[in-house]
Amino acid sequence: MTDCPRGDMRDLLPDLVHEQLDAATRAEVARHVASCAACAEELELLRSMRRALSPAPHVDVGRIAEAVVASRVAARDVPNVRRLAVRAAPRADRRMAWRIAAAFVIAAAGASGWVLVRGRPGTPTRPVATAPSHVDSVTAPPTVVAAQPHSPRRSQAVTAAPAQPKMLASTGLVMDGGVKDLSDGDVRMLLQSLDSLSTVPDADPAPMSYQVDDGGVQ
Amino acid sequence: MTEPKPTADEPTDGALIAQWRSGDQRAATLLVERHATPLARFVAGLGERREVEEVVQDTFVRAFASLDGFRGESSLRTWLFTIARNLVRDRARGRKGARDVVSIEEWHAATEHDALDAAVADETEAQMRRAVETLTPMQREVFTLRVTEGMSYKEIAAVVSSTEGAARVHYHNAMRAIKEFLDD
Repeated sequence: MTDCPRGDMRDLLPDLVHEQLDAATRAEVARHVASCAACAEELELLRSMRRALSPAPHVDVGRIAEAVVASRVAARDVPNVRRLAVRAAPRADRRMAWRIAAAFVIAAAGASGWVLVRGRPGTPTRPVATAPSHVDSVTAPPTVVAAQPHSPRRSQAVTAAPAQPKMLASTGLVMDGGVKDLSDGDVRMLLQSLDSLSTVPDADPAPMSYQVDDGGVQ
Repeated sequence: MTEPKPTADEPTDGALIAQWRSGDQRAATLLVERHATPLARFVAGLGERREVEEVVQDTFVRAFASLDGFRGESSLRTWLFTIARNLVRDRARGRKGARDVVSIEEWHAATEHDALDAAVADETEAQMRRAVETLTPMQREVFTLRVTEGMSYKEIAAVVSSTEGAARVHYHNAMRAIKEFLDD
């Protein structure tokens, strides 16, 4: 097959097949085709190609239309459901939510304050009650060395040998003197016991307290 | 196939879109009836073998989902063909070892159309199908849209995201390749 040199005419052949040309153009193209064997052959080829390629697979138009409508309904319903869910929250629930949030804020503020006060350098360590002076030192509970600030990993209470207590005149209780009051041997033993710990607790131990009355420690 | 033109009694695509926007669901059915078959033919011609109806349905669902934003700068038909083409390409990319060319037997199996049996029986038309199979994907798209759907180069350029000039070149290259195949 040869190609016609009139590209403008060849361009219009598919439109002639599909009857998309106005009357004047159609007449012009028809005249050219009548006098051009190449275009006549190409026109016949186009008609045959159209016939060969035209059969279309069957599609269920009704089902497709239903899917289109269903998708529109779904698209409209989703935002409606979301709006309803927001509006349906009862006032009492919202009030409770505010209370819970406020409680969290108060608790967080309290905890932060406690941590700040406790972690400030120079803050006196918490006094721990020990046995009164008249209690026999052998039977007395061990003195607790108070947790030192800025020792996060080893801030747990450590049992130590009883030291010489300081008397508080007003209460009759004694305040322990801390590590500095320990003897060299006691400090060495304390350090060894620290080194021998296999695990280090994450939190401080619960404070030990004793009720002290005239009858002794309970 | 030429563009499905509504008769004097039938509403235009634009009128049906307006009806759809105002909530008339029957407009969707009319639009689907008008464009489903050409879309199915185009989709099958691009090599989508087994899920032609699914692709056509996806095309309509996507088009109608964004129909509110359709400004009518291109025809609805062009827009539908563009969506269908992109869906076919996405599926082809998603398949491992997907082939660009579909054999005549696969195309025949996919269409399951009674008229196709007679068409394929005709050796000349079978040869023409084989000739189209030899085209590059772009040539095949352009040639199908021009010869089978009767689209203008401007419409084709919109569908295949190209220019009118490029579409014209692809068409003439495709025609030359087909003639050479048939001459051999």
